This record gives sequence, C-alpha cells and structure tokens, in this order.
Amino acid sequence: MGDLVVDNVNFAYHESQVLTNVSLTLRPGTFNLLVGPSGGGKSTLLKLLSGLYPKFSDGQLTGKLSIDGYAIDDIVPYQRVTYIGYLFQNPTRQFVMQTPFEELRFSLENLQLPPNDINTRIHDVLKTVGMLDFMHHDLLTLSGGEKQKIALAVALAMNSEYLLLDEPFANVDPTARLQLIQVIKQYQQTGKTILITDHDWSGYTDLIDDVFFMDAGHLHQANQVERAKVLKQLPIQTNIETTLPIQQSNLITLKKVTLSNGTRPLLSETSLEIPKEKRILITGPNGVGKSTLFSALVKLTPYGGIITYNQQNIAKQKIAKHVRDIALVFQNSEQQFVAMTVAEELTQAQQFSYYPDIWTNDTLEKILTQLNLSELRQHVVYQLSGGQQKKLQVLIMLIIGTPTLLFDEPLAGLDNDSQQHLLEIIAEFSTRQHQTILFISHQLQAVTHWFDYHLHFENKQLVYLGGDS
Amino acid sequence: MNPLIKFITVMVIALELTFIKSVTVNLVVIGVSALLYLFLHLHWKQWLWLILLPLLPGLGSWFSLMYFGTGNHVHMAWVMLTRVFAYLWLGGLFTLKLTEEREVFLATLEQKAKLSSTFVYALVGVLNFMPAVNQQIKTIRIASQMRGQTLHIWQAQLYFKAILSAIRWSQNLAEGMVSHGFTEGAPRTYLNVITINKRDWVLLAIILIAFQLLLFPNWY
Repeated sequence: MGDLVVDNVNFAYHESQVLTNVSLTLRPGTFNLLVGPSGGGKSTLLKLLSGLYPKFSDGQLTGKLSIDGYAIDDIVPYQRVTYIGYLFQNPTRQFVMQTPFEELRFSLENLQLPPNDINTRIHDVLKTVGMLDFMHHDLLTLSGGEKQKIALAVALAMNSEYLLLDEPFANVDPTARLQLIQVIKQYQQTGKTILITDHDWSGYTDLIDDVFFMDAGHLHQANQVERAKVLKQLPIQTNIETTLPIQQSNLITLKKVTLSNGTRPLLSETSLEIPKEKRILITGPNGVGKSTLFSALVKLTPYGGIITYNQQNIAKQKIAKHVRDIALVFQNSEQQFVAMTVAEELTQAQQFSYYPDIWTNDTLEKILTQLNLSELRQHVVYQLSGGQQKKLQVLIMLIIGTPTLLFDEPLAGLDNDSQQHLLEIIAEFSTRQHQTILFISHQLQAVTHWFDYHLHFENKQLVYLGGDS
Repeated sequence: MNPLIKFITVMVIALELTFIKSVTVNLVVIGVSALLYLFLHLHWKQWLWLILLPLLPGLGSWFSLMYFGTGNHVHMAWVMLTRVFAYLWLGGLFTLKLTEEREVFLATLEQKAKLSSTFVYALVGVLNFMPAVNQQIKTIRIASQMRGQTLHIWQAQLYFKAILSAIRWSQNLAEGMVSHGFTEGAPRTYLNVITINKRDWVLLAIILIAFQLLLFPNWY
C-alpha cells in the first residue's frame, strides 16, 4: 500500500484562498467520509490528491502532497492511477470514448493490461455496477445516474489502491445508491482505501471508519460528537406525504404520450393531467426517462402523442414563446448560464423577470446571503463549485418567474442546509409568483412534506401515488 | 481491405491524376469507382451527393476554360470536368465507408502508422463530440430563450457560448483522459491488435501497377 502524505497543503487561485493548512491522514484499508458545505474545498482537495490539480487549474499549491515519497503530480498518469483512482463530480465530464466498453478498454490499455485480461475485467466491473446490458450503448444516451455507474466501473477496473469519489451518487436513485455503497465497501475490503464526499449521510452508519469535515478550506477529523451526528441512523425509506389530485383546473395534459431514447422505449402510451399552481414530485429509478419527459415538455426531444399546455397543443407553439411558459432547470447547471460572471447572470435575470417588482436589489441581496452566494458576485460562473452553480442556477430561474418550472434534480450535490434554504426559497417565491413546479429528485429526506402530488415513473408507466406512499 | 491501405491507394491515384491530362483515364477511374459503389449498396441519397457535389466546381471550371481559356482549352475543359468527378468518386470510396471503419482506421494509424496516440485519441474525442454539437447549439438557444433572449444564427453571442462550451469540453476531455490513465508518449497495450493482411498489400500493388499500365498508351 502506497504511503499517502498530505501535509500542510495550501491552494489558492490568485487572491482567493481555497485550502488552508490542510493535513490529512488516511489509515490504510479504511473507508473515509468527507463532508462539509458546498464550496468549502472538498472537490479541490480530491482533485489535488488525484494529481489533476494543479496541472489543470491556474492555482498555486504549497505544502507536501506525496505518495511513497513521490510528489503526486510528478508521477506519470498511467502509474499514478494504480495508486490513486478518481471519480468526477459531474458525470458528463469524464468520458473520452463513445460506449462504456470502449471507455473501459481505453482505460485498461492505458494501464498496459495484457489484452487477455481486458475483456474479463470489463465484463466483471460492468456486472458489479449492474450495467452489463449497457456495454455497447452510446454514452450520450445514458442518463446522469447511469453515467455515474459507468464512471464507477472504470474506477473499479483500474484497481487503484486509493479511490477518491466526489459525490458519486448525486444523480443515482436511492435503491441503486445503497447497492453501490456496498460495491465500494467490498472494494475496500480487498485492502483498498476509500475517500468519498457525499451530502447524503444515509446508508453509511456501520461502514465508515473515519469522518472528515471541510469548511471554508479548513479540514479536521470529526470528533465523537460530530461523527455521531453524521453517522446516526437515518431513515432510508422515506414517506412522501401527498394525496391524489382531485378534479381541478389542469395546466398540462398528456394525451397518449410515448417517449423513447433512440431505440429504447421509455414511456408507453400515457394520458395524464397536471394541475395548476401545485408542487409535483417525480421519482423513479435511473434511466427510466424522467429527464427525457422534461426535455419533451420544453420541445427539446421528440415524443409521440399530444401534449397540451393551457389547452393549446405545444407542438404548434413557437419554441421561443413556449419556453417562456414552461422552462427547464437543467440537470447540468452550466447549460443554464448565458453570461460570464455571477453578477451578469443575475442582472440578466432581473431584466427579463416576469416579476421585477418582487426581485428588487434588496430582495436579491437577502436571498444571496441566505444561499452564501453574496461574496461571489464577481466570480466567473464556470469557476464556482458544483453546489454553488446549482444554487445560482435555481435562483436565476426563480427570478425569471416562468409560470411553469421543471426542476431536474436541483438538490443533487447540495449539503443539507443548502437544500433546506433552497426549498424554502422555491416555496416562498413560487407561491408569490403563482408558479407550477415539477421536480425530479432522489433526495427525499428533505422533501417529505413539501409536495402536493407525487408522480412515480417506473416500468414505462407514469402514475400518481397518493395517500401515504 | 484495411482502411489505411485504402487511404494510401486513393491518395496515390489522386496525386497522379493531378499531373495527368487525360479524359480517358479520368473516365476509367470514375467507371471503376462506380462499379465498386454498386457492390457497396449505397443509399440513394449518397448517389445523389456523389452526382451533385462535383457538379458545381466541375461545371465551373468547364465553363471558364471552354469560353475564356487559351491554347488547348477545349481538351482541358473536359479534363477538368472529369477530374473533379474522378477526385470525388475516388475519395468517396474511402470516406463513405469511414463511419463503419473509423475505429479500425484510427487503430491502424496508432499501431501501424505509429502516429502519436495523443493525436489519435484527441481525434477520437473530437469525432465523438460531433454528434453532440447540434444538440448543444439547440440547448444553448433554448437556454437563452427561457431567459427571454432569442439568439439568432447571425448573433455573435451564440457562437461565443458555443466556443466557450467547446473549450470547457476540451478541458474536460483532457482531464478525463489523464484520470483514466492516458499518458503522452507512454506505451499502451491493445485489445484488438491490427494486422494488415498480405492480401491487402498485394491488392494495393496490383491496383497501383494496373493504374500505371493505364498511363502507358500516351493518352495525354
């Protein structure tokens, strides 16, 4: 086992300090959890440990970061990954090739694995993460959660001594999440050391050896009290309290709608009403078609059947007008941005808001403070942390005030406090702005009483669940 | 036939065509290509492209030489017209099959032509990115429409955003490659080892010799 040393590490971008005097000891063969608020420097630390930073950043590193006495960023990549494997936070970011098979082959060829072993190992790891059937699918057609499973498969295939995972389950459904935690646990038990960041603390109770806290660039190992708080038994099955919708004014109607992804059918003929000015949760396993449904509602992907909005067939609407009625809050935050800095994004949103009277500068300042974003106005949006991007993106779309908002996993990758703040803000302003909210989420602990109705998508069926579900 | 061998054959013949002023030779190249296309079972749209694409540049040079040329311009007009067709039909033999043969072609470049693997995999990344570009442009437009702004195809902001996302994407690609162990200049193993059949080399020789023989009778 390589000896990993992280001693007094500082990392800064120009003026702004990201990590301050970080020292970390991971006991060999342990399972470690790294927690802390969004933007605290967790991803930066992991990228430094993986050797991607400082090379792929313009930041300054001081302090000691070494493995077996070699500076991590000095080791050539194909040797480094035998020591340290790394899984990115954003699932769309880590693939070179077209299919899972090709990506795995590419990675194993880089490691100079004998050709005879390559096929076997590809088969094994895809089976482990439950994605064997997707071996030759186009990665572009996989859902966020499915991509994350493939990324994990690559990490497992490389068989690194240390495995660093940055929010690997943010887009993964709860059932699959628990399975994947077990997969990682089994990997650890073959003598590997794991460091994982996760804002969802459920499912780790009996698995974790050490817990680390990271806040505003400072790292410390959790004491007994903090540790107990993180690892307390959380309910894994959550009860979402909703009722079945009753006859009322409907906003969106699906008439015999079908969806597919290339050749893969996702939704068989479904007719359904979506009521006005309500908050509706959409749940379902990864890859079932939740994002595709949203894409169809904003006319980004084709569908079968008829969708009407306010009794108008949306197929006949001009796209520019249509998306001022229904807007999508993308799963990938960066797709939402139209400007460079936080301030420019906010000004643009205020300028085109349906409710400029609500979104005064004072209100905005108050909300930015609540979301811990007020200090970041001059920052470039692409340099924010994953969590900060998510919060900014949601805020911008709330300011725009589109009558119907489709949120695609807005809570993914956010810490508990940020989730609560964001939900409160969405609730307050969507009520004042008479908005209808459709909301895909796998993070259910936070939202047990937040929704009016609950749609569940599984086995090509989309149905309302009601009463206690 | 291995796509790289095919590529070499096509390139050598195309290069020679540049120096040969013979309508007959051009017609023979077109004829042989057409024969091969019959075996390849082209889609009717591909036939249409093969006919329409060379038409404009071909007729353009034909007209200019025919009516404004000097010297042996009538002959040269026909040579240029047939040459444009010969180039495109010849090139089509390679490019129209490239989608299916892409992987083998790139693997051959890496393993046999000893091209830098950095170059080959950057190319792979770019080719894999192409289908996403259209969707990306669509998404950029819709994202700004949701914000009340319509970006038209003549507006710089659309391209600014597209270029920005291309830069982001290339950074991600580089990080993705490195995090999956790719190392510039380091040896790699190959799951599919490319071998070029002796038959391919023989075929290459036969085609090129036959083509040279075609040039003998002093048709030009």
